[in-house]
Amino acid sequence: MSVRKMTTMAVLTSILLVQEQLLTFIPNVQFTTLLVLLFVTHFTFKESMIMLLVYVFLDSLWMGALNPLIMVPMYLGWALIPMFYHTVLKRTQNVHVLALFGLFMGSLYGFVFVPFAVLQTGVSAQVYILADIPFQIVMGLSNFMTIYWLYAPLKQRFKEAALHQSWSLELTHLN
Amino acid sequence: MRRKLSVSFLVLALSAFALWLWQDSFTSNEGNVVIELRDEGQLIRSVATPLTTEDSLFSLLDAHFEVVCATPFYTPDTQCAQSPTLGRAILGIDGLMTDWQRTFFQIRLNGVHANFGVDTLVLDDGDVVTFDRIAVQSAP
Repeated sequence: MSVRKMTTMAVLTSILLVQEQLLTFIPNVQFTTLLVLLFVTHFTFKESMIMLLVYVFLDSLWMGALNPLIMVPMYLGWALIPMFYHTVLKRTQNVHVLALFGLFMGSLYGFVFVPFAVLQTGVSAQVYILADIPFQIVMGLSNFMTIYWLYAPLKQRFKEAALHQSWSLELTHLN
Repeated sequence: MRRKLSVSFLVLALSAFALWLWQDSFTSNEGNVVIELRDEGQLIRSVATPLTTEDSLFSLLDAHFEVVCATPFYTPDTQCAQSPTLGRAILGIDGLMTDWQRTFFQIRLNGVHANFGVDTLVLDDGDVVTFDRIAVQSAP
């Protein structure tokens, strides 16, 4: 891996972290799903997983949540995006499909936390899921809107930057 | 563009409907309830109040006590303006304040740690709700 690529990954991971912190005052409203989706289209599965690992670690460090019962489900939750993108979604670029995936991602991400939250807090899974529903809806809606409106234009800008900087997975594919 | 706007509006409307359905599923029964305010277990004040299906624990608390809620950054907010859909957090009752970091209000329903907060806890006739200011590390 080139230094340029590593630097790009570091900068993009920082952007991921900063935008989330800027939006923490609105629970579950963020551009994280959109950005992770953009990143996984331009980096390999392994690279995406490394970026997510760094992001989850820094986010937990910043939020004072260096707790395996929070960090592990958070990593697994975000890892669903590269996993689904490279398998079920078959690397589709169809914005409608991706936005729909974002809508369901709100619930998928929430459900990953259930066993860990039950273990940590002792509440029943049913109670946790019921209390988590509005947050899942808000996250799903936020994912849908950001992907539906911003994925295509950001993808274009990303592609231009990738061609210019020669670090894109897609560029490798194109070559 | 028109199609995109229509799809966005449809998804927004469906989400709003789902949130409304979810909110509506937490309806209390009619009767009477008791709300207790405690500090480390010591009773400060107790209020018995009628309960209707229109009431939530927050509305009853707000009607009988001076309530300070938390902003999204957990600073005091006397207006309690945060979205009730996502749930309010209580920082102070009748001047008894918590700092959220070291102390908090544990909500107990009939002596048992409640699983929901002031906006979604379902109340029944005869329930006793306790707001007990305790240290974070002493929480069970």
